[in-house]
Amino acid sequence: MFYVMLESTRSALISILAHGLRSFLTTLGIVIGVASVIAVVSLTQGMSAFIGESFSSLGSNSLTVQSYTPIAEQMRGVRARLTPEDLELIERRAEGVASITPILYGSSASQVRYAAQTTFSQIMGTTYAYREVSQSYVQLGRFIAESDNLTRRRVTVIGSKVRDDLGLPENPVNKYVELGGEWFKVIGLLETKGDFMGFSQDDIVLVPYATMRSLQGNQARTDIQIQLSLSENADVEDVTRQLTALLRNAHDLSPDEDDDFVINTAEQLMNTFDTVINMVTLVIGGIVSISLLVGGIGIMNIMLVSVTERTREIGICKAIGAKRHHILAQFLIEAILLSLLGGLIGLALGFGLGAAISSSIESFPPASIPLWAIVLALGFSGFVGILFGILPAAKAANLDPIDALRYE
Amino acid sequence: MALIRLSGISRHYEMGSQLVRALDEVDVEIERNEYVAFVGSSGSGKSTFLNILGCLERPTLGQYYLNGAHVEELDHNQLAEIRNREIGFIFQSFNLLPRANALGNVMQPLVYRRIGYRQRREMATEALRRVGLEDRMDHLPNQLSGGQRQRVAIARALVTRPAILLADEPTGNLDSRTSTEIMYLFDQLHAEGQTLILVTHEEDIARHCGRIVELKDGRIFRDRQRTEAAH
Ligand SMILES: Nc1ncnc2c1ncn2[C@@H]1O[C@H](COP(=O)(O)OP(=O)(O)OP(=O)(O)O)[C@@H](O)[C@H]1O
Ligand SMILES: [Mg+2]
Repeated sequence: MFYVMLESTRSALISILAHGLRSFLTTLGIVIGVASVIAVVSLTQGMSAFIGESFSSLGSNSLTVQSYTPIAEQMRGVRARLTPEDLELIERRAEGVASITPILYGSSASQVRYAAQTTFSQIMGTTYAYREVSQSYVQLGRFIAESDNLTRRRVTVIGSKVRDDLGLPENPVNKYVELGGEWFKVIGLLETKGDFMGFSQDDIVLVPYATMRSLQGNQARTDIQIQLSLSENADVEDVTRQLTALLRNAHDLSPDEDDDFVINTAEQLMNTFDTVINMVTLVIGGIVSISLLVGGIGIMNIMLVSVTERTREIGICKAIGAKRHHILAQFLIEAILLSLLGGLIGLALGFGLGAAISSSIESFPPASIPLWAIVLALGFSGFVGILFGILPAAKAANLDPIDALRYE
Repeated sequence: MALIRLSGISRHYEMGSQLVRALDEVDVEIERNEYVAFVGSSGSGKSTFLNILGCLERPTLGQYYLNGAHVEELDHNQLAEIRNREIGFIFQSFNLLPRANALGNVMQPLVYRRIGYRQRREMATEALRRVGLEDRMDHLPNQLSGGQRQRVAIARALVTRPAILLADEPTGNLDSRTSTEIMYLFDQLHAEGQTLILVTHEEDIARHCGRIVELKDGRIFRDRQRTEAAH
């Protein structure tokens, strides 16, 4: 068996090379099919690997609670809110919470100024616990302390993008910046986190939560976000249930009313992303299998032509002792090699394409091909070769020697 | 027992409503180391007869024993085996593989015998040397003259050391000088003990053989030993 395979491979290679251009054109369908699979897979894999990393740095055991107003309610001017009282309630009553922090967003993007430079940035009021919950650590200076909140100190911790945008020195600690018309002293610089899906994670300005509240005054009834991380052996679903019960009770919701808040886990967000990515992969996979089918038919077609062209040769081989399986193996292996060749070219092309796309879009995660995609692509193109090669090969093998020899 | 024994061999072709009797009840025996020419006018059934001898075609009726084997009872694979081991076939139009060089063509029958590359190469080189083409081994068929192509074909037929060599008008496409060279090669092979059967319609060619069988309308018309005829 091995001997037959070896000899068939030898002669298949000779005949593929003899028709270089034709062989290449024949495999084009497979090339395009495999190239698009690999390009898409390498992009989505790179993306989901990146998303996975980002979320785990977010802390996979953290929860975010936000107010939620359905569109219909918003139209009627109703706005759901999470209040500092809700925060206190959770702090006091919920079990399994390791640390908890409010986040109070400044009204839209606020102006940030240092000397003559200004930029716009989202200002967030929070507490010392934010550091643990969102895994944001300072590289220089210190983080917001509890005392900063108690005394409503006008201090700020900034991200590296804000420093760069404002033209602050490398070490911005002890400089003063103007936030929404008030002067704040920079006490810390956060570690650089890089981009996430095209958004800089370093464009961030943190101030003490209490300072933020006092600055906003009674201007609006505050709507805060609550981030919390779970203690070691707490169960996410259990804590979610507790929070839901506490908040529904606090908000006086009757059993037939929907929640006016949402609780997100990092994992949920990640799963949503994964689902989207898997959908995209599936749809593309469908398109690609059609193109592989077309590619396979192309190979079958050219193999049938090749069998007809080489009828006399087949007759000669039979006259000098070739058995059916010799002829079958020769043509089948030729078809498999053709489509594997297409698969390999497609693999290289697809990877190149993926790498080119990911590097041309700024902040797009680098492309990566998992081993399973390579195995699948080559396995699938080999399978296409067998599937569409078997008919022409059987046709060749079953030729009658004398008829084949007489063929003009 | 004779190397080849055919009894009542017929080959009929149905052409629409017409039945063509290409061979009609032919009985022949051929012994080892015979040198036989089958002659006859065009359409008399010579090629059909040789194709049946070479197991390329099956007779419609009759029995064929080759080297003790009852050919009618063999299946596809066994016939392929016989074509590979017992028979060396030489065609009027050479029938070389166009994409393989001389050496490759001569090695090809050995591929079907699971012989390793080096030994194949050795045996093929030896066969090409035998036909005087050791310096043309890496030429493709279209880089060789007609006579050289036929020598490659003969080398390919010889390389398996077959029991019989069959040649259908081996010199039909060659000029007279090259024909003589090829016939000289055949004579030598016969002298070395090879059994040779050829089909021709040229007197000069048939004269090389020890026995001349004449076909007419698919039947044996005359069968004579040339030595007897010469006396
Ligand atoms: N495949 C076929 N289908 C129908 N008739 C055939 C076929 N092959 C041969 N014949 C007929 O059988 C008869 C014998 O043919 P064959 O080829 O054996 O003749 P031949 O003696 O070799 O002739 P030539 O000297 O011209 O080569 C012819 O009448 C021919 O028409
Ligand atoms: Mg003929």
